[in-house]
Amino acid sequence: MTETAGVDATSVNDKEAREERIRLHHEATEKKLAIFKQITYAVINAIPHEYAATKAVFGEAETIPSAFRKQTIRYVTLNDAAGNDMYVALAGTSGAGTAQAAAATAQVHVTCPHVTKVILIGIAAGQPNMVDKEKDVRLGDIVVGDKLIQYDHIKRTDGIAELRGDNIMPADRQLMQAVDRLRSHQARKGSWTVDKPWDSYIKRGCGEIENAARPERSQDPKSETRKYEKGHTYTRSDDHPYVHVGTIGSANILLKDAVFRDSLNKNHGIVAFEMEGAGVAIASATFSLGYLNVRGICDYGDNEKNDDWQRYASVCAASFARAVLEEG
Amino acid sequence: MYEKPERLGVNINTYFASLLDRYTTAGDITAIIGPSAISAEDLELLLDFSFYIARHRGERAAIEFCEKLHHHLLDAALEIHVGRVLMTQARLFNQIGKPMSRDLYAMEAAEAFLFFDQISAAEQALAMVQA
Repeated sequence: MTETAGVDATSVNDKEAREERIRLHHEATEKKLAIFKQITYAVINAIPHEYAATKAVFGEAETIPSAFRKQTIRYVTLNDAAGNDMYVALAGTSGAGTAQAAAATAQVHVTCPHVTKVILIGIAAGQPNMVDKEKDVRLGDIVVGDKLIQYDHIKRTDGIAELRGDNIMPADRQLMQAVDRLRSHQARKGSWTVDKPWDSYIKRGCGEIENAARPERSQDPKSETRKYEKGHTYTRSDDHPYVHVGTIGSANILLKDAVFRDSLNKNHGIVAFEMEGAGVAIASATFSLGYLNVRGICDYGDNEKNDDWQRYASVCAASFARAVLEEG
Repeated sequence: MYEKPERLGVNINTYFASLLDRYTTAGDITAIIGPSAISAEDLELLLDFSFYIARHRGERAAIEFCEKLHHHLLDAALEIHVGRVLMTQARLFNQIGKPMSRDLYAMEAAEAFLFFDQISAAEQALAMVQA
């Protein structure tokens, strides 16, 4: 009789302990959900100086811990338009290439499951236009992609290439609306003399990153060869970044070929060329995320390519991306 | 001075000072952790040391030390201890007014405790999460 009572008491204790564990698991799940629901945006960079620029512009980054893994994803705290804290995950560096960028997007999605929008920040080659001032994408300018083409996704038949990478999900509409609101600052007379939301971040980034100051105009190899025949009514500064919106071409190709570049521009309207956007866009579509591709222009994708503008361009892209996030 | 000398002995501050010196010089946690496995008591001492670092070098230095300790535990397959390190980091983030990081670390600590059925520690960690 006593033994049976003892067994009963043990099983009651076991049951209570089990129920307590279940209750704690539920509480942990609910609280984890509440924490991660606050992280709704993420930023991806490909290479170290892009990440350095993002950290300089976005401010102090903290690790998002993981008990049983060495975690590399961090977060920063920004303020939204209403002044509320906004938490943005920083994926770190993915490495150059579309597959690497897709993997980074997937990693963000797994670590921060409530992220709904991803911003890819980096450098790119720009499409120069020596005759049309409005279409001339210069070094130090910023290009935001509203459309994206993966120009190395082709079908090749007996020497004839047919593009297959032209059906990629476009940029997130809500983020593009924020981009358009910010771009409207450029329509003001002498807009380059008035501080725009991203200008103070460019100053901060250039102040914190080694060799990130805007290079002299003479270090733009096209500066002396521009002979505009069109777009004269359009005004812009020669010494400040201008924000363009257009089609970005993405491929696992480090582009140093002016003829190929011009053909892509002519056939598909591509105005900037980079190596990660397609990966982020495809992964974003897979996980039902919105994305935005923000690029600082550091070369022209031709034989005159060098690294002089890379750090400044990285800072410009990060600065505009931060302004977009805060604009909402 | 260290806050708990009565528990660890009067010479603990001298010991921690020398430990901090070795850690700072080497810049690596292996300079102060021997090759043998870390016991629960060793870990307790290292976590006390992290608060000593916080008092002398600031909370950021202490958080960085804890991160190195966390990674060391993972490398040594001592996952059973990581909850306590994460909990210490949560307290340090709380001290410097970083509520998001406090919640993230306390949450992760709670999950680690729950994984190893350390129910009481998990309850304490969850109680720290304010989200």
